[in-house]
Amino acid sequence: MVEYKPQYYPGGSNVAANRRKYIDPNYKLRKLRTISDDDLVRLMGHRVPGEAYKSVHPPLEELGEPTCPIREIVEPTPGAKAGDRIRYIQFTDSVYFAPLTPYMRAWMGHMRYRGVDIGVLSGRVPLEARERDLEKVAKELVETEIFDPARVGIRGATVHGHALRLDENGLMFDALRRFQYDKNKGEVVYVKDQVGVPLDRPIYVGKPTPEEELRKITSQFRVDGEAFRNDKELIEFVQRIHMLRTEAGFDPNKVKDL
Amino acid sequence: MPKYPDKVNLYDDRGKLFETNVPVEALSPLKNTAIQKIIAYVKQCVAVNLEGVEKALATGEVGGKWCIIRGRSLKLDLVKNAGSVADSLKKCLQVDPDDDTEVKVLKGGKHLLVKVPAKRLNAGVEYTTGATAVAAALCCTIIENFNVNIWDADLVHAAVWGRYPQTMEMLGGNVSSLLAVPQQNEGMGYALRNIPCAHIALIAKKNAMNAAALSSILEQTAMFEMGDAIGSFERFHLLGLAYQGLNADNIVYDLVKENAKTGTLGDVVISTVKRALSDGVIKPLKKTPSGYTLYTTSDLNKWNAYAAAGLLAGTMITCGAARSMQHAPSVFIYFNDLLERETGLPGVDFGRVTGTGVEMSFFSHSIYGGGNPAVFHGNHIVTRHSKGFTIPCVAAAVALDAGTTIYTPERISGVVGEVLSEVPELRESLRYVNEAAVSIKGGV
Amino acid sequence: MSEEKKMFLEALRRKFKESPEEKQTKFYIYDGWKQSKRKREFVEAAQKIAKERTVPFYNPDLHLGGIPLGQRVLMPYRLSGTDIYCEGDDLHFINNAAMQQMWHDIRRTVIVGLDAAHTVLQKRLGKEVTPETVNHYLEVLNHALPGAAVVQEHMVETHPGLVSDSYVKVFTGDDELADEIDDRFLIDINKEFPAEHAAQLKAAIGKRIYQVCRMPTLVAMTCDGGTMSRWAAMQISMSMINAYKLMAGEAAVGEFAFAAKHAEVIEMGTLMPWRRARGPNEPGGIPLGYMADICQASRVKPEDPVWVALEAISMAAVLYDQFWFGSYMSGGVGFTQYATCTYTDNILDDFCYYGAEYVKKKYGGFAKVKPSWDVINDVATEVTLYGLEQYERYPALMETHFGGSQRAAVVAAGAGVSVSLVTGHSTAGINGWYLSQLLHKEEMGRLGFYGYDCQDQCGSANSFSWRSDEGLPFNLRGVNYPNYALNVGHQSAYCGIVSAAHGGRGDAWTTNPLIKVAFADKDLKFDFTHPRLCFGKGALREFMPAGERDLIIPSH
Repeated sequence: MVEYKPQYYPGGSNVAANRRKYIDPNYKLRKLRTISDDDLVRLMGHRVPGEAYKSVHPPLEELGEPTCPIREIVEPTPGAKAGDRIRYIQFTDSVYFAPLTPYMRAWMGHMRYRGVDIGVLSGRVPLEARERDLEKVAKELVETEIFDPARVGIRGATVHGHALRLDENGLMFDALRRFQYDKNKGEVVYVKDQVGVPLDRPIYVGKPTPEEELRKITSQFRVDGEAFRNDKELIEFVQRIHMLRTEAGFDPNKVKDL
Repeated sequence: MPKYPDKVNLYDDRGKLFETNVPVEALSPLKNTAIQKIIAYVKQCVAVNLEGVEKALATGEVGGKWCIIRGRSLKLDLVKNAGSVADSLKKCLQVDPDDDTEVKVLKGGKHLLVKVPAKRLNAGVEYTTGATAVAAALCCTIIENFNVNIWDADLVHAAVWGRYPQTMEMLGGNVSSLLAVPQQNEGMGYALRNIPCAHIALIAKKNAMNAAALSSILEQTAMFEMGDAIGSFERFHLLGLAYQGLNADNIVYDLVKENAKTGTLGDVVISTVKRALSDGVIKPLKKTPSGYTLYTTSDLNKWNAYAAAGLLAGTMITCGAARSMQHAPSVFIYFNDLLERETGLPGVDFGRVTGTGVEMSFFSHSIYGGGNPAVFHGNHIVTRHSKGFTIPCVAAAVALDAGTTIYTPERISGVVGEVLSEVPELRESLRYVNEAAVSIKGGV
Repeated sequence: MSEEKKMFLEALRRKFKESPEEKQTKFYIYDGWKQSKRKREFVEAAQKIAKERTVPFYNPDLHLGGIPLGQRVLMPYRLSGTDIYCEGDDLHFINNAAMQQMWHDIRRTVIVGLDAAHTVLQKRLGKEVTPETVNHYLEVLNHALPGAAVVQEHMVETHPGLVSDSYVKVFTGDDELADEIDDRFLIDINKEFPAEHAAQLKAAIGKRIYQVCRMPTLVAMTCDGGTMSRWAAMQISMSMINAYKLMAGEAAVGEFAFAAKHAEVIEMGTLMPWRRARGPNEPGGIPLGYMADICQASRVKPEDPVWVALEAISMAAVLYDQFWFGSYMSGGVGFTQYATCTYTDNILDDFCYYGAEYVKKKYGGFAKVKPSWDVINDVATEVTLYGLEQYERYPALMETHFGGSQRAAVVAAGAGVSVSLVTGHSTAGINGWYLSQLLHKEEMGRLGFYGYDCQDQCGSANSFSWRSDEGLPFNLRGVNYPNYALNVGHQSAYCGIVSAAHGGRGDAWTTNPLIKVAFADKDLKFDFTHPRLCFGKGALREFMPAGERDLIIPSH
């Protein structure tokens, strides 16, 4: 067998390299801030801090699982074992050099986290998991370099903003104004939870990342940043996948050694 | 002489070697006698909810939700007399005294599993014979055995057949087949694709390997019926059935085992690529300037089968770890996205599984939704795009769910899944298909 | 496309009143819904109605628990290819009479061959058929088709004032026969089409003669598409009995009915399967190529296939996205916002003309090269990159198409139309669209709504497939083609991809010459030569539709 090392993502640009880096589970995401467990729970709004996890079914041990060779070998996550409900965290990423794009969240999430259900839309990405598993994942997603307080939003509904211009403080539009810019502190502060319910006290999530830094760490191509046009390798990669899919649709037997 | 050179090793649902060097055509619906029996049983086996008939007659609640015909009811002890009902029903259905007709009384008479004799189906062209013969024979049985008079016979018809023929199907009836009426098929050859995964999971008693196997058998057999698995495309489907559905070369089981304790979906992708490389299915094509290696294959059909096996393993890891079915569509999209970006080769069914995943994620998660994965089958504009490679994974995901949904497989399936799980060939399809393959392997 | 030539800039300036290049702006200062004249009108009307009906009604303050629409600019829209600006609400089909009429004019049309009926008359009944008898028959049918009696002696009839838009016309490829048909009944191919197109159409149609039956709009509004061939067949058969003095009930009459109801009928759409069941002449059954042919822009500017394609796209956006997916299939308020992106603000126009200029310059014109990977990759990639870069250069453009599905549709449409133009091959065009979607996904790392790209992921493999329920020349696919059967934001441009391929080749029609001719009819209420202008008139409330009921309701 030829030597094989996982490569995660093609492309010759810095953006492609950033994508590769974030998808690679061996790369440890830089921690930039600390959000307390309780604050994270309040931001998501699924339970009150300190409240026990609610169950959707009894713990697996009590439930008694059917005889299945796969259940016998596949270890359930802690949340699944306990019978937690499946809940979500959802992010909106601005097109203006936010660290991640929606698909990046899915590619990265499925490479790094076990037992997650990730959906992708043009402006938002819901990640669902058993509640205690979710909280663990959410922590990393909010505390590390892939979360920019100004250009990433934690939003359950009325999520829009990704494609709109930034406001005068450089924040992404949010019709519900869940987050605001505290000029005195120079920080972004959440005053409402994911679905827009006012929080009993504000949650500060830190200073917006400087534009220059964002441009370095972003996984977004932009013509006013790093243009996709210049990553010929990646363009040719996409063209290749399209050609192979098309030719295979015509006759898979004819697709040999391409 | 086999048409194709492929030989596979057969394994059981626990990864134990069953037989080596079996020609892949021994697993073909055109040759494998167990698959043929399974397909025959799908047509022949019908579930009767005798308790349902009794209640409908007693209350006048017939022909669909909240249709309660005032002033009409009939008190008949059908469940109590299930044994004699079964005997009469059998006699009514039999063509010859020693034919293959069977009527089995289940759950103390609440349910009947009926096998309509093959001769009845052979005398017609439509698979609906199973349900129509049972419904008609049941009406005969009830009317004759319980002396139902001319003024009440129509109520018996409604309790058994539901609102048919005002409706196309037996709406609110108490006779069910796995197969929906032909008018409900999306296109030509779709009958075997029109079986919700809830039924499949329950028939397999939630054994994920057997659920996937039965689903794959039904889906890939449908490919022959649709006109897809023929000529240039036959081997594509045969390999898919063997590697994804029937655990050929133990790939599915191996990949699950390798990632069972801590693996992510991405890890299954990596394991799949490793396996394809070590088995020589893919090889490096060239290195790009950035250092990325593009891979190629001289056997795209086999690569597809490996990828499909990986997809099922990825589903088992993700949905198995979460013990939840809702994760399935996300797996379909992102297993393939990651696989394509890892190799430079097309994903399962060349993008069609990704597309199906996109739509299924939408329909299982949004206001345009059509329910949780247990209601999904291959006969829908959301799911029909992938030709046999998606639904087996959905069936496995449903089997692995620990109870995260309100509309559970049991609630969706009603009696049919539970009743048909009494048929060994349907319940443990992998074992029976393997045995049949071994018995014919020299002759294909 | 040079900076000053960019077609969307004027609209962007008017929409936002700020430089389209500006990356930052102010939000939350626009007084919510009150910034919109149309919303204010809605509120005023609703308050009055709520008082009258006592049940609570429209109240935008209920939006998001008190946070109303309009936290940002509720932007106006320009109908592409026109100078008409309107509010988004004016492009919802409920609020736009022109959109409704376009659909009604399509749905209420069936084409019925006359030659078989003439053969029955001559061979089975020994009747003489001459131009005079044909003219007489057409006069009788123009009396009967709207809902009048021709044979019965005691019969209820429809009020002519309610069914004034119902009539029958005929066309033929035979100039001599056409000359002898009364002008009032004739769709004259020579007059309606450019000479080159007329020659192609006449050669295809030959000596055969076809009736184009338009049932009343009121029938289209109250019954369904399946009504149309039945209505037409009943009145045709009755008129035959009257005009040729036949026995009403002899077996030969059954042949008229069979011809008129089944054998000689061309429906606009075929019926749909169980899960999305609808009868014939409903949007789901209308192939893309039929829609491209129903659009008559090619008669106006055959030398500009881009413009022709854009006009066809607007019709398909309204029919497939707004009516079919947005209402028939999804229920709810509909998909207007998804659909309007292809026919507003000259954005798709800019992308398509960019592609047209690119292929003219590089490949020497339209339909000059055969499909190949080199051409598809080159053209689809270039136009995709151009489109994506415009969104990135002009934040106002990105904000205009604030949903990814809009951007995905418009960028891929530019690519698909351009590949169609250069190859003259619509299936190559759609393959270019699919490449565009994959490139878009990779470039932006995002694409459309949750289920947007099902068909785009399946599309590469299925575009040139020849398997059972995958293979089909692109012209004949429609919203019942499996991959296309459930989501919005594609089929509008698909119609343009068909149109552009044939426009690039200089063809008179794309798929069906009879349908092309059937809609070359100045007496239709909707102007199929200028659909975008017509929709604009509808938005401005300057379009007069048919099917009004003033005659039978209290004055109001």
